[in-house]
Order: sequence, then structure tokens, then C-alpha cells
Amino acid sequence: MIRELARGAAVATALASAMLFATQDLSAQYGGAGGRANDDAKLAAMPAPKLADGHPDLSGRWGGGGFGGGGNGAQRFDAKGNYHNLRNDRKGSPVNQERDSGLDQRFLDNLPPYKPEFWDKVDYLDVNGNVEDSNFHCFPAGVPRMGPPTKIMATPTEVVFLYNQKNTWRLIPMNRPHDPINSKDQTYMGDSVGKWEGDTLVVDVTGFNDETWLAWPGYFHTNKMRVVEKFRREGNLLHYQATVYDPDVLTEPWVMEDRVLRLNTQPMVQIEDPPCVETDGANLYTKERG
Amino acid sequence: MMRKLLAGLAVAGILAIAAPRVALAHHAMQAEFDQNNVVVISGVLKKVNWVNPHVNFLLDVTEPDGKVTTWTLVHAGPNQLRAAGLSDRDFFQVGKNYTASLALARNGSPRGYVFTIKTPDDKFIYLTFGAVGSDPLNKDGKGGLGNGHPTSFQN
Repeated sequence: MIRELARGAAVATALASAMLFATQDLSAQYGGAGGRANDDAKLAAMPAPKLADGHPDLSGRWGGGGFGGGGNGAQRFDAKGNYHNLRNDRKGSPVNQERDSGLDQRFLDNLPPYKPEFWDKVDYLDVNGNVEDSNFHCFPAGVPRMGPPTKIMATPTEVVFLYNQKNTWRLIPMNRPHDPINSKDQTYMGDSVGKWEGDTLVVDVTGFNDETWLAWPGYFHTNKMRVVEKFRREGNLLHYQATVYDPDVLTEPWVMEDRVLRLNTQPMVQIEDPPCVETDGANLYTKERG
Repeated sequence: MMRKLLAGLAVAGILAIAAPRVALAHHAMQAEFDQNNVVVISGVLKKVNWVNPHVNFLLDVTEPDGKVTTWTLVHAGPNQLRAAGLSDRDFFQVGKNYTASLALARNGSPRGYVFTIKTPDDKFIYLTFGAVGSDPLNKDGKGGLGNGHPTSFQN
């Protein structure tokens, strides 16, 4: 009830926030140059390479193409050589940024369809996320919260996903059943198997623990969760979609927001994700999260 | 030198904004620090802890009575700062003097969220903006942000 009321009241803010983020995503990719839709159309029209077996080759570094591509960097230095961090937040304030981000993440239209009796638990986890969210305490985000991989290395028999987050990886064997032991384990990444449906790589994942969340606002799941990820290469774009099956707590499967990643053609350098050593938790004074 | 070191900083603001969207561990700044309680400290850089979820810098500050207190200066995550061009070991020179304005920890511990850093060669790095006028090193919210309103340089 409260959630519904709050959602209605926050629509304007969420919309404004979503529009803001759309602008920022564009800026991140093109340094403010604009033209995302046009550029995406060009990327989609590019020829996609094939594997030896004729299926699309998903290999490559995906996303992150905007790093270092800022178009107006010089303007960030004044005549004296001082640096100015330009923020698009309201009043340039990190507090406003975090609060808007919280709204943005809580009031997405696409909520996981929890059975009614589980929303109180979600609300509790959300309010107490600084304690309850294991990702805040340096544990892996896991599948599907960690999103699509940073780099894919594909062969007809095995696909390797590499993630910058905590230097993690996943091995996806093709065209075989789940491993009988791994798929009964309780892990952060689960046991994955892949197959082709037309030109779409479909990855079936099971064998999860119940430590991770689906997303930031307290969206928990059980250790019976199954996730199906779909990867489709369109030229130099990669379409990523994940669907969550957890019938113990969801009324129906949850289809997460589609993601589109661009092939990153910048020279690959290894970016080590430093270890996570959390010290903020012991110093938190309120329950607010950003 | 500074210009070169910081050339990559152009995307810093964008990355900082994008970070929560990808669901990384991120505690709210305002849950730990008070953006309306900002002080300026100077001291010798003791150590750089290049770790997730937030990079922190240890600054040895000598009090008037001679006692040395090690302050912890918190800012963004290492990948954000790296992409912003701030991972260069020559930029953070252990043993040199830095001055910083920071939002104090609400629990009274010697910790702060960095707003502005003054480097050993007297350049100002305006990283974060709180309420206009709250940062003693940036009283007028300068920096092309028009008193905290990002207009003229906005992408």
C-alpha cells in the first residue's frame, strides 16, 4: 500500500531522473557528442564475425567505450590549471545524486513480481540494506545482478565470460546438460550451460546460493532460483537479457531490463579490480543508502 | 604536469553518476558524512589504500599540541578514480603535504569525504560540491558550475 502510494508520488521525480540518466549514458559513450541512435544504427549494420560452426562469434570486449572519450576535457581546467569535476547532479551535489539514484532504482516500472506475502521482507531488506546487502560487504554481486560480462571469449564448445567486478569469470560449456554436482551446489555464479537458439546464445544457470540479490532495492531470491540469459549479436552491438525463475517467491518469471552493449574497439588493457576492504559499515550513522 | 596527469578526469563526474546504476557496493555518502560540516585539514600523505569500495587516503595531521592524528579521506571507487586519471602514483606522493576540505564523519571519528584537494604544487582539484558556500576551499562554488548549477560546461 505504502509502496504503491509512494510510487505514484514519485513518478515525476523518477521520470526526471530516468531522463537525466539517459542523457548521462549518452554523454558517457560519446563525450557529449550526441547521436547515440544514429551511431547504434551504424554499429548494428556492421558485419558480425562467425564461429567455425557458423554461429555468431560473440568474442570481444563489450561496453565501456566511453572511458577516456570525454569531448570537453580541456574546459575542465581553468586558466590556473585547477581541475573542476563537472557533475550533472542537481546542484552538483553527491547527496542529491545518491538520493535521485535511490529513487531511480526503487521506482522502476519493472519490479520483480513477488508474491504478496514477500513484499514486507523486500521492504525490510531495502530499509536495512547497509547491513543486509552482502554486496555492500564485499561479497560478489553474483548472477544476474552482476550484469553482462566485460569480455567474452567464444568457441563452438565453450564460452568464457570475464568480469571486471572482483576479477571474476564464468565458463559456459555448450550443448550439454548441467553438471550433476555443480548444479546442486550453492554458489554466487551458479552452474551454466549454453546452447544456440537461432542466432541467440541462451545460457541456463542454476545452483545458486540465496546470499545475493537480484537488484539493489532488497530484491532477494531463493537457492532454487534459475536464470536464463540471452545474448544476441547485432553487428557490433550485443543485446543482453536475463530472466529470473524463482517460483517459490515470484508469481511469474521476472524479465529484467534489456541491456545493449557496444563492441569496445579500444586497445585492451587488463584492468585489475582491487580487493574489497570495507570500512564504511562500522562508521555509518544512518540507514540511508545511495 | 597536473594537466597531463588529470587529462583523463573528463569523465569523472559521469562515471561517479553511473556507478550506482551498475549495482556496485555503494554506501550513501550522507549516511556516514555530513556535507554541511566541512573542515579543512593539512598534513603529510601517509598511505594510499587503493581498494574497493572506496579509495582512501591516510593523512598525518599534526595538531597544535604536537599530537599527530591519522585522518582517513574517503572518495570514489578505485575504478572510477583510475578512469578519471587519478591512479598515477606520481600524483599521490607519500611524504608530501596535501590540504583537503572534507565533510566530517557523523560519528566523530577522524574520517571525511573529500570535497577539494590542494596538491603539493598548489593546484586545486575540485572533486565534489556540497551546498554552495559549505566548502572553505571553494566558497563560491566556482569551477564553471555557476554556484553549483552545472550549466556552462554540461555535456
